[in-house]
Amino acid sequence: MEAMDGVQLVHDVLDACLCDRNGRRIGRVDALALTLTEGKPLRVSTILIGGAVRAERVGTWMVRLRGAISAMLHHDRDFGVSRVPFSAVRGIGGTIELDVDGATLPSSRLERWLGDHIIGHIPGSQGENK
Amino acid sequence: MSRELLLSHLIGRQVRDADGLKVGRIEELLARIELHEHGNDYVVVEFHVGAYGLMEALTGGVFAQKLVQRIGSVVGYRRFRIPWEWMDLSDPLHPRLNHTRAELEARSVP
Repeated sequence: MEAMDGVQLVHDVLDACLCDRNGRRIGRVDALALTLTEGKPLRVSTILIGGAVRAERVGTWMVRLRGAISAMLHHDRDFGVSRVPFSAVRGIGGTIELDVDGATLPSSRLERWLGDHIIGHIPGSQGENK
Repeated sequence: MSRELLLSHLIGRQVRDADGLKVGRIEELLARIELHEHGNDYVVVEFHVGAYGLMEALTGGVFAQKLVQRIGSVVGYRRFRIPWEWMDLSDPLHPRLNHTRAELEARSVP
């Protein structure tokens, strides 16, 4: 197998785990946006994080299923897709380190909502003793 | 003028050469850091395109592609490393080489 001098976008980046500047896991690379300019090489511009973009990758049936589940749950909240510029990448290894605060990303809304409305109501979830 | 496209929209696309002949499907993009005054960017320097020979018709899906790559030499699987200058993405859904397949094969011979 030939050695690759560079980053393989499918093998090394797509679906890789992401950590914010505090070392907190903030999801995975659900999609990668590239900028196409005539006469220039494609530039890796943006990391996209969020269920909506992942569903689109799986197929239109998944987008429809996701929409149907949202409608069934009557939830009108947009849990959002985060767009992080690729220039915020600080390191690519087992995980990708980003120079962002994960708590401010729109894609973290679902996690916060689950924490507030479900996980927070489970006895012991606040770390209290028996 | 610049426009945005998603990596997932390119992966798996059939690439044709300048004469319209099938070359293979895009499997991987290799990016390298490009340094400039205002910082640095990752730019795509190579497209890796897999040709599946007789198994071509079965390799529309990712799973089938991975399977065929595993048994590569048996079914005539080949992978081409194509420099970005050779790839015409003016229609990203129908990528095209601005060279012929023969030129590509000549370049790929070790």
